[in-house]
Amino acid sequence: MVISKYSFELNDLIDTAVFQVANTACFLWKNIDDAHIIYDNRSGYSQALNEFACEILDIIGEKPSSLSDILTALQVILDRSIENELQQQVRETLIIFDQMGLIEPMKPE
Amino acid sequence: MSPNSTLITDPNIINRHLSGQGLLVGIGPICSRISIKFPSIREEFLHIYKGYPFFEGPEITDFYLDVYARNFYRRYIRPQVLVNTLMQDDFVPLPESMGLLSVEMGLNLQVAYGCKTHILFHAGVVERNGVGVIIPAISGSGKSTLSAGLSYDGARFFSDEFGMLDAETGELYPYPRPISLKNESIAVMKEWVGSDEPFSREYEGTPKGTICYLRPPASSLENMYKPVKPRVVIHPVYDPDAKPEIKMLTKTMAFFRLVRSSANYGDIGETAFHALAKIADECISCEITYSSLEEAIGLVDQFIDENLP
Repeated sequence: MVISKYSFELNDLIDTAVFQVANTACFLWKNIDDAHIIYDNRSGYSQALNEFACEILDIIGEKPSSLSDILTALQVILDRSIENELQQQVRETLIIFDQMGLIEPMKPE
Repeated sequence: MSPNSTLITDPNIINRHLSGQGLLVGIGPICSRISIKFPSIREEFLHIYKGYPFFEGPEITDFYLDVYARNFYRRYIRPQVLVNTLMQDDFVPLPESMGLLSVEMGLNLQVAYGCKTHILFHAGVVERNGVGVIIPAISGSGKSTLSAGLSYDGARFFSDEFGMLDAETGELYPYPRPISLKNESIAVMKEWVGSDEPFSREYEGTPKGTICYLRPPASSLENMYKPVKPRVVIHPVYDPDAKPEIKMLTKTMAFFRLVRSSANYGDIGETAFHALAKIADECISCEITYSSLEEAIGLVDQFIDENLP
């Protein structure tokens, strides 16, 4: 597996950064089967998100959130504590979202 | 075809246009002006395009193709063919003996890069018993052979290379150019058609091996302006050792496979997204694995019969 330098940097950033959804006006949605298909007007790319990924994007879409904000919100939605494995999944989802251009870290004030 | 353009059938006039300023060839929704300066290539072109509608202007021309020699010497000494499409492309010259390939490749290139009026799929398309069937596939999977086989078995041929979807109406438009057959599929189709007449000669030694063109059935050419709604998407996989198999695709998989096969999805954007999502949602989609043409046609019919009311 090739892990780019960028991935390492983003991995470090994930714990501290506050993410926002890039620009929701650019996205089109369709629900087909059990997947949510998202089309990004800026790039012309389409991506499929499952329910879990969609929930995370919704949380960030409601207000800019850090990893701990997202985990707290998920804890409320799922009504249980978030174990390490799920935390890691959230982390990986954020990295993929960033690579897709769906979210971006906010500039520190 | 514009109201002022005239259909021409006189071979002398056709030849004069083709060797001069260009002959207008209307195929489905696309009109191309084609000029060929080599008599031998004109002869091959007119054989394989027998039965196509030729016009004289005025006509809105979508694409332009000029097949010419770089200079006087290359016209007669080891003659070489160059293609000008007005797209600032850089075609490699071909020997005169492969001139028809330049015509077909030049037209393909223009459609693939220049067509923005329709959503393009790299796919074969046929109408089988009133059902629009899209056959998207990568090269070598047998989509041309399957499209040709279905067409010479009663289906209406739309294309073996470009599925053209009108995003507004959601209908597929025919673009029935000659079918490009390669290597083993040439013998298969010659046996299937049962006559050598609709075939071009065989062009050996191309980067894709031996290529031969097959004229679509006359009935498909006569109906080349009638669109059809797509209802079935079939992804063929040719495997000489495989057992015949039909694998249903989920709608999400169907959507992304259509995106992958579309040549201008990103260029057309939002409209294409909605149109492809509609096809994925409303059509039935599958992958078929087959080892012979007869088997593939049987699987297509079986899939349609079992899944469409």
